[in-house]
Amino acid sequence: MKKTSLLISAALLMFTGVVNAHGPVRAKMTATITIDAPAAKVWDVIKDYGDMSWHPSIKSVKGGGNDKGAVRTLTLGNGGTITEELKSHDDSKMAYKYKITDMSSTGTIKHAGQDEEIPVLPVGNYAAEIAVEDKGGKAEVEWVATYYRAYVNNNPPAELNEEAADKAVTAVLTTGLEALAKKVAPSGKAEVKIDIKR
Amino acid sequence: MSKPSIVVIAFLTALATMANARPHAFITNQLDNTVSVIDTDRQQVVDTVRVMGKPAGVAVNPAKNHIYISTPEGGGFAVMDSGTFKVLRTVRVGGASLGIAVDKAGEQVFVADWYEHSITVFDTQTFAQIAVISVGKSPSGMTVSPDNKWLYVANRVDDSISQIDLKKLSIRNTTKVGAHPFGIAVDSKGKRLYTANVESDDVTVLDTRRMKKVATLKVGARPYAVTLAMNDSLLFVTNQDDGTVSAIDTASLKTLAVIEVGDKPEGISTHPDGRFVYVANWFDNNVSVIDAKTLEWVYTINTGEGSRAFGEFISP
Repeated sequence: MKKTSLLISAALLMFTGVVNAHGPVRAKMTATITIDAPAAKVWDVIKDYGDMSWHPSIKSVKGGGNDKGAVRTLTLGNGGTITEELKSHDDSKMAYKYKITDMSSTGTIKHAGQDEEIPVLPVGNYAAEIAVEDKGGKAEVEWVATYYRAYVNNNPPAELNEEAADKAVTAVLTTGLEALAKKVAPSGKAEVKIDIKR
Repeated sequence: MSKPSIVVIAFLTALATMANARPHAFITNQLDNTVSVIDTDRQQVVDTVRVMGKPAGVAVNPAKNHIYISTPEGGGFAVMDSGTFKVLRTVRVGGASLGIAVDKAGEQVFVADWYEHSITVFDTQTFAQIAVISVGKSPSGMTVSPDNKWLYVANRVDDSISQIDLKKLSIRNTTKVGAHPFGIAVDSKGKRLYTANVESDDVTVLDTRRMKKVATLKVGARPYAVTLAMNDSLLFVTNQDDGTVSAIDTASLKTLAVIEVGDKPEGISTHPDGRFVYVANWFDNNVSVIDAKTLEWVYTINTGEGSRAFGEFISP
């Protein structure tokens, strides 16, 4: 009995070591949905960088404009804010790229003797691209986000670890794409597919 | 077997060996657990080799016909044959192996352990562990001086560079540079060391004689690695968040061009001809090739997911 439990603890220790290897690692999350509507129609809804009314989690947007460098600040339902800078906008490709430059925090926790702020989206160095492509008359929307976990040192607290980051980003992309689909094709049953690579 | 067939086989083998004797770029596709091997004469991927453990770093050992691939989640590094591209064996190293480098004689391979804050030294004949050298926090990029006297290590979290005496296998000097140095390079005279500082968006230029800061050069957003080209007259720097490569004149230290490459450019290395510079684009899953003569990209080669190629990844 003693030998078995020792073996199991050793195995668990090894597993934890492997999973936590190498410091924060950049993740790439791809959310895809196919909407039964022309691609141009879908692009029409999302193409204005300053208009995020199609996303139910975003209460309002300040700023915008479709020129490189344009800044928008999103206010979320919980009052939190996210500031994002436009990196590129291409009407012909029906795509735009942006990155988060600032976020408000939802609170602080104590971890490893330090006060750590919890950003409204528990991620670091977040950049994303949203693009619409015509797929045989239907619109395939691909929203890809790259990000790190919010805590940069080893042994992150649960609030700022990879799982928390993945969960939060999945929610943003899924909620957004589902709402977009419902708006453009209300009777449709489109589902969001999520793929995370790290 | 008839005589003509033997001749044909011998001829084909010779051709293959000759082809594989050309410079090849070894691109680690971290998200795919593979390494893309690019024939730089044909500018094509000629083999995709499975390497488990999220392959990231690359080092070339021409003396032993080895390519070393660090696997941060594979508990060590893999040894690949540079002629056949077959994985010969793996070597266990504790913690997380990221940065990897070889001495100029090809006798020792250095592995940076991100968690243990040390460099493990292995013999390239037997892969026996020779030494463990404590350095700063989260050692990342490494490079060896051309005279084989010094190993330079970027201590990412300490914002410093350690200069290690390769005869004594001990630290001679540690110097502060910019914030979070990652990829580093030394010139062919061993005189100047360049560090890409991820968090301060700049490059530190050090005079290696006394490890003194010569200059700090502003580059793009979140620089990852650096390489020298055209007889050390040009320095190229990957700017991860801008999707560009900065081309800097090393004499005047002025930026000559900012070249658009793919998304999240990371590893960068110069061809033995000193002219063509290869850049791994992590997000776009491909490699951009830049002509240092014209400061323009000339080829894009599709590789695998999460192309990183951290280190000096082109064989002679």
